[in-house]
Order: sequence, then structure tokens, then C-alpha cells
Amino acid sequence: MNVSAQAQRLREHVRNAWSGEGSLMELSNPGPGGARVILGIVLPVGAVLVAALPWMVFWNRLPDPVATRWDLAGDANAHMSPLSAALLFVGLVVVLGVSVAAATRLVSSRPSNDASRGGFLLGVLVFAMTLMAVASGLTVAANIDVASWRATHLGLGWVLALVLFSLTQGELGAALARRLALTISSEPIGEADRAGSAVDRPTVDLAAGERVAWVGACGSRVLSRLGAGLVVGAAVFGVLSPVGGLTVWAVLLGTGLALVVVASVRVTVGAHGVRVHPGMVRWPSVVFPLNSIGMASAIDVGALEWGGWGYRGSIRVFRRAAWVVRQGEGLRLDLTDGCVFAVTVDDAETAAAVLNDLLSRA
Amino acid sequence: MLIRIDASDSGPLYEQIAGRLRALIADGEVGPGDRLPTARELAESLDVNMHTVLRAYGELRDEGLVEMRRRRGVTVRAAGAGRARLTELVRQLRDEARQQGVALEELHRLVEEAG
Repeated sequence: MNVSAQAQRLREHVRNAWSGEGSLMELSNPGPGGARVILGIVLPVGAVLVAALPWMVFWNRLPDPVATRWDLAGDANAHMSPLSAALLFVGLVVVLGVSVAAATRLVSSRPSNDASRGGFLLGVLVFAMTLMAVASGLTVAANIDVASWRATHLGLGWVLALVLFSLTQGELGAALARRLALTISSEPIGEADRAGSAVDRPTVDLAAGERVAWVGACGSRVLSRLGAGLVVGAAVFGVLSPVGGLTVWAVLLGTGLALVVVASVRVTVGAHGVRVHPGMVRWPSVVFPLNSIGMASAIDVGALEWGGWGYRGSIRVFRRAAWVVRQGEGLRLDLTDGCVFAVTVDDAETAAAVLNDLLSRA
Repeated sequence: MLIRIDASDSGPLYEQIAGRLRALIADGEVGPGDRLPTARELAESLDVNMHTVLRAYGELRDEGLVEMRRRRGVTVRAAGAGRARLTELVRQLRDEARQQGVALEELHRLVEEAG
């Protein structure tokens, strides 16, 4: 198949994908309207409710003053009058909620191919808003029915769980914002770029019947050391405080292991298509068969553009995913169904060349 | 690393695979301690039987270029690059001799005399 026919086929796929022809996926895949409502209304209003309702409901069962900060051991070390604490928490969440709503409006009113900045901004805002809202609720929960603020207790496990939960919410906010920005943009994934790289796409001049395999890898020392550090920390923590610290221990260990796994990546390209898996173990792996790939290109991966480090996004839900280990060279796959996958890997140019040759031969 | 197997080449597949890997090691494209793809990965990419790849790896191990360990996979040995170049030169020598109709015993004698 020649290049222009292939580009044409891709364009059609992209158009079909973005026109939102009904599929099973649509249920879990909010359209632009849905994403706007969730980001601009549901999340901010929800956050304000989570922040404010506990104060209103349990007002009569709180001590005066209330505890507002706890040390690592979980003992209270700062206090405030209930009214100041409630106003501070709820006020902050309202300000952040308004910011989230405003940022959502901004992202949806300015069509742009560069969905990265809006996504990052909204991710951070949603993270901060969730953190403050849930912290507000937790503060009330810790203060209910105690004689004095000194008697309250809030374990580190709760705090870690709070941060983790807020991170997932931030992640969700960023993904929704990117989806919003991408969907309203008239040219979803840079038609011009695509045409350009389709013309002077790299090639390794693969002969008919020639067999080829390409193996590439890349890793991040910072990420893997951070992960290893967390695992060691979890081990130390487990030994030192075996009782009561199970949540902290599990969170530390899980995060550490996950970091170690995603800190390096290995990519193989060949007759099977593309397989991506962690550098150390073969599981979990992501496979894209040759017939699912429309075109491959070598790109410069900016971590913010794809939502940070690690495995970001979801092909199924957001039609866009990336495995980012470091900034820089990466392989981008434009799938025939309009989805986009990117993975950071050294010598991505050769990988893209091999893939395109395999594709044009198929 | 890029491994290409020319379909028009004669000779068994495993030898072609071993040859290409040997060249990569000789050129230093894969260095000491580097991990080669697992036999399963390579077999999947090249669309060949896994035993073909294992046989190629076995050959490289016998030549002293790589180390095969359970779990750790196939890694290039410290002396791998030098050995690979040497093996390649010996093969070139053999091919040249074969082309000129020089018998193996004669070649042996020539090498010994040179030393």
C-alpha cells in the first residue's frame, strides 16, 4: 500500500473515532460535554460538600478548640477554634473549586492541539482541591466526640491514603482536561504533523522476505532508586513498628514496587508488532499487533504533555496512553482506530523505521 | 539493537542469527554485561521457532561471547567483543581459503608458520 493511501486510511479512522460512533466504550468514556460537566461542576461541588458537610453535621460533637495537625505518631500538635478551622478549610476548597471550574471553562473555550498545559494545570488544581476537601472531612472525623483536642489521634496511614487518593483524583482531572481539549480541537492529533512525517518517514529499506527484530530499552535511575528506597523504607517500617502500621507499610511497599516496575521499559518490534514491558520482568506487557498500528514515528516526549511519569492515561478510556520513563526520545504509535500510544525508548527512530517498513510490506 | 535476517541468504537460520549477533558484539553495539533479548522475544519478533534462537545463542556461548544463565538470560561477556572480532576474522579467513581452494590442513599450517 502506498503512503498517501495509508495516510488517507488513517485520516478516515481518526474521523470515525472522533465522530463518536456508538461503541461499548462510550459508557465509560465521557464525551466532551460529560467531561466538562464532571470537571467544571461535579468535582468542585462534590469537593465543597465533602469539606463543608462534616462541620455542619457534627458541629455540636466537636471540642473547642479542635485539633488541626498531627505528628508522625498520630498525636495532635496544633489546634484552632472550630469556626476558624471550618472557615479556613471550606474557604480554601471553595477558592480551589472556583479555580477548577474557571480552568475548565478556559480549556474548553480555547481549542488547542496543545492539551498538555491545561491537563497539567487542572491536574494540580483538582489534586489540591481534593486534598483540602478530604483533609477537612478527616479533621472533623478525628475530632468527633473527644473531650479535648489533645485526645484526638490521626495515624500516618490516613494521611498517606489521603495523599494517594488526591493523586488519583488529580490524575483523573488531568486526563479529563486533556480529553476535553483534544475533543473540541478541530484537528485532534495534528493532521499537519502526520502528513509531514508520512512524506519523509524514516526507513531501514527492508527487503521482501527479510526478517527483522528490534529491541530497545530505557530506564530512569532516579525512579528506580526512589522505588527501591520506598521498598527499603517499608521493610524498615515493618520491622520497627509491626503493629498498627499496616496501611503505611502496604502503601509504601506497593508504591515502591510499582515505581521499580515502571522505572525501566523494554520495547520489542518485529513480526508480532510492538511489545512493551518493564525492563526487569516480562509482566505486565502491552502488545500492539501489526494490524492494529496505522503508523509509527519517533517523537520527543515531554513528560507533562503525556501527564507525567509512569504509565499514563488509558487506551480504552481516554484513547491515549503513554509509558514515560524519562523525557526525550520516544516511539509514537498511531493506531488504526485513532488511539495514540507513546513510549520513551532510546533509538526510537530505528524502531519507527522498522515498523513503517513492516507496515508498508504487510 | 537491530537484527536483520536476509531471506536470500543461504545457510541455516540459526547461523544467520548468530552471525548478526556476533557482528553486533564485535562492533561494540552491545557491550559487556548487556542483556540480549530473551529467546522468546527474539523468536516472536523474527517469526522463527524459539529453538532456532536458542541454538544461535548456544553457538555464541560455545564461542565464549555470551553467558547463558537461568533467570538472568543471555548477557555479553567481558571478553565478548574481542572474541567476536576474532571469530569473525577466522571465519573470513576460512571463507577466503575456501574460495582459493586452499584446504583446511594447509590453512592450519599457514597459521602455525605465521605464529
